Amino acid sequence: MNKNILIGIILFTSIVFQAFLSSAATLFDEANTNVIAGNYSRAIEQYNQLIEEQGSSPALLYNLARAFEENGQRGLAILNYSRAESLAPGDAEIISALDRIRKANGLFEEEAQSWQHRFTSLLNLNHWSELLLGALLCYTALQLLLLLRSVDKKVVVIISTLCALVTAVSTTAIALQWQTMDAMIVVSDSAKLRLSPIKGSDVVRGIREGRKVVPLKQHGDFCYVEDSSGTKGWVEKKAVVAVDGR
Amino acid sequence: MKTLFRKNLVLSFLLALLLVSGAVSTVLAAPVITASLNTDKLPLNQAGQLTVIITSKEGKLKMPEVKGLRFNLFSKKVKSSSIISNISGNKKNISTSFIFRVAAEEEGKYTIPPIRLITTDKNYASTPVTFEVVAPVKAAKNTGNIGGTTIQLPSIQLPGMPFSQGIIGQSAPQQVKSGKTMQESDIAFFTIKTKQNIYEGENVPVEIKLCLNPEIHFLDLSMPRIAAEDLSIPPLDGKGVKEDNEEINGKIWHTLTWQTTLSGIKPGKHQLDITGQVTVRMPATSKASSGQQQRSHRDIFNASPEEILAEMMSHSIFDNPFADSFTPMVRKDLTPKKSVTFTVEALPEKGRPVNFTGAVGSFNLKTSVSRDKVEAGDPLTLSVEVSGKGNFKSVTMPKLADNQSIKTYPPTEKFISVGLNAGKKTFDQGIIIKNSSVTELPAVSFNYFDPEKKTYVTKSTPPIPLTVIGAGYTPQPVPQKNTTDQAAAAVSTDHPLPLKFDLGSTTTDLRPMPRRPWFIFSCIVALLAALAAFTFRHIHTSQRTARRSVQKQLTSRLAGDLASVDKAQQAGDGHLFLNTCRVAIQNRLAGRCGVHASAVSSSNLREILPEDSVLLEVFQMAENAAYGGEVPTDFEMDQLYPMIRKALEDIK
Repeated sequence: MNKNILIGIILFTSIVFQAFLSSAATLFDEANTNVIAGNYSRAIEQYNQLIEEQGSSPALLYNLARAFEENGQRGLAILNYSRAESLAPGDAEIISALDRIRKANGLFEEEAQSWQHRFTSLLNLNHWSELLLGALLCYTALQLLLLLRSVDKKVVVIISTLCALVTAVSTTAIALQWQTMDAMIVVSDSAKLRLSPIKGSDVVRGIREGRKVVPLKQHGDFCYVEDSSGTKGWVEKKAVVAVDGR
Repeated sequence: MKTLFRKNLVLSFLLALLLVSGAVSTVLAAPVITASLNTDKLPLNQAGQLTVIITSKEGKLKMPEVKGLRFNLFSKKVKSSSIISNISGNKKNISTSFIFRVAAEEEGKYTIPPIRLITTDKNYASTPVTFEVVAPVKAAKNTGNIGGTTIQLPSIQLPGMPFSQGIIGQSAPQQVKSGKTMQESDIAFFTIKTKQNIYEGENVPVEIKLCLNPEIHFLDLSMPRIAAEDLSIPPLDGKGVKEDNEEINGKIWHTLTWQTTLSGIKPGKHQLDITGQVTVRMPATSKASSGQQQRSHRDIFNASPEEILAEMMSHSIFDNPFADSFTPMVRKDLTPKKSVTFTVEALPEKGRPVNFTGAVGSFNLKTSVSRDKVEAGDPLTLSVEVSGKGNFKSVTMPKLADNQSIKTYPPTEKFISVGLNAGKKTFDQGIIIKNSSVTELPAVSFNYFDPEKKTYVTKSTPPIPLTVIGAGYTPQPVPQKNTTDQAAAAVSTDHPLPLKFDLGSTTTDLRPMPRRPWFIFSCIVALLAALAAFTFRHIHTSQRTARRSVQKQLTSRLAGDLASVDKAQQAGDGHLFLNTCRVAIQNRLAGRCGVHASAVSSSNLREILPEDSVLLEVFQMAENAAYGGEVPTDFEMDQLYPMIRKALEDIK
């Protein structure tokens, strides 16, 4: 009797879950069709609804970015491409799309000047994090193995050295890229860097929509940011959105 | 004979006298350069007068540098006189006097090192001058000569100009005699050095000099004002002013010099007016041609007896002190002016290039690119550097020739000034080469008007060769991965990549990995596990090593003990044999008994050894022998030794 009830619960749950997934997939397809048909606003609404209900996925964010791009909202397009890239760092399509939209809008990233920056730019933050975790797990596994059986000393030394090296390098790279974790994208086409966090204060210069900035501090409705060229200024909070969705 | 001798003696004496007098006159002749200070005790707030006299020589005077002392040249006088030389007759002697004002920064003893006169054939030096700077004395009201020894140097500051002592400050006039009429130009005047015929937009350097009579006591000095219509010239300030003493028309003047630039805005004749305002203090009888007069507080009734005496002593006996020194002093406001008319000529229409932006001067053009090998679609930076002299405000980024395959972005510009009218302006322009059909960046041309040559000049740089790799910026379709091919094909071809049709796994966490809790947790767990395993292994290894070490020690000790037993057996000494056996058993079994080796007794051994153990038997024999019991014979020792050895070695 109990067994039958358990089977029933499992079946019911799986049916509900399948239906839920199916409805999500349907909504996703519908939104894609709207993009193709040119109904970008409707597609954006549907993608956002999906994100609220299901969360984000690289594909969802990518398509949302495409819809924004088609709709002429390049700031939001770059924001969602960047988010998609953070979820799927190795996705060539996402990287290519982000690169293309930046170039098309004249948003060139400043070339890394120092060798440290060049080196850390070889991989993105998630890749360095994966390397760090991998090295730590490898070293742990080695230590546990040594508890169980003896291993050739040379092998132990080589593996330990490699793990230490990878840990040191990836930790340094993460530390150097730490600030970029807070990166924000300018989503307003009339955003300006101001001298003070006051409306109407002197403008340092305009900042292009889609430009990546790093927040340094906040005050009221303003955020003190630095762009890739090193220019700093206060920008309205509503004009920038954090890539990590904070 | 005697007479002849006397005559010769007299002649010899006269000759010797002549020679001696010549030599003495040569030795006692005045030195070429002398230096003297008018006091040996100089109050800190006053200036002394250093007189340097150069006789019969011409050359360059080199003043020494003394820490804490300042020398200001006050006047230069040249005197000529005839002297009778005992050999060559009349000779004209020229002496030049330089008078310096000496002021000290702090009290103490100072020595002015020899002042050098550098001539073409030889260098001469004066003797050092030693004096003491003492505590400052209370300033007299009249700021005049005090006791004829020192001269107070009051200071005047231009608005915005750093403090400068003694540039204008001066005592009561020495050369301004009462009753003498002074023109305003004798006190202060402007000079302007510039090019007066200029072109519209041309930047020309202008030197404005305010010359001040060092013999006049200036109380106040305002920044000169410039008035000019249709001429562009920045207002003067105290930052760039240069202060000096210069000889103008044979007289030393204190000068304040401003270097600036001027440009004509509109063609025509335009006047530039410079007006200054100075306030001076001078004797009332010295009539200046303009300015208001005010009575000074300084008069005979306000002067102290010491001051009156000082004034009297400061003048030569030929002067009338009561007619001169006690003349009422007045304050006068003067407004020196200078006007210059500029003729601004319009730039010629003839030969004016179409893309002329108004640059006038003389310029050079240089271009460079950030890289000469690019992939189609990749950005590169074109740097254009315009350097030279002229109006850089009108220098703009030269336009690249239109090319559909090259996309350009608005340039950034940076200007570095390298002089009054010279500099370097650099433009950095972002460029995208869209496809590989581009083989070079087109030539860059820049036009300007050269006022010297009176013609338009076009400077061009050669095209920059480029290597462009790749098919180009044109979007390329990517093979569709998933379903709904038709839908994907319908996507605008303006975009290189299609939509994604597989939703994939979703997450609500967009944070980068180092910010995600599971990553931090995993790292901490991995680290702790590795640390725990390492620590455990380390402790285990240490214990094993310690055990091995103890075992090694015991084995070594056993070998020693057995050697002693063997030695006693060989010697046939039963007592020694039993004693060494007892020590060997104690050493070997102390660890198992848990007591010190010397404290191991037969009762301890009974607890850990079987009753028939040879060790227990031998130990008992040894204890008995100590109390007079029997000792083993040689035969018994031969029998016992291998058994004891084996039993001891078998113990783990």
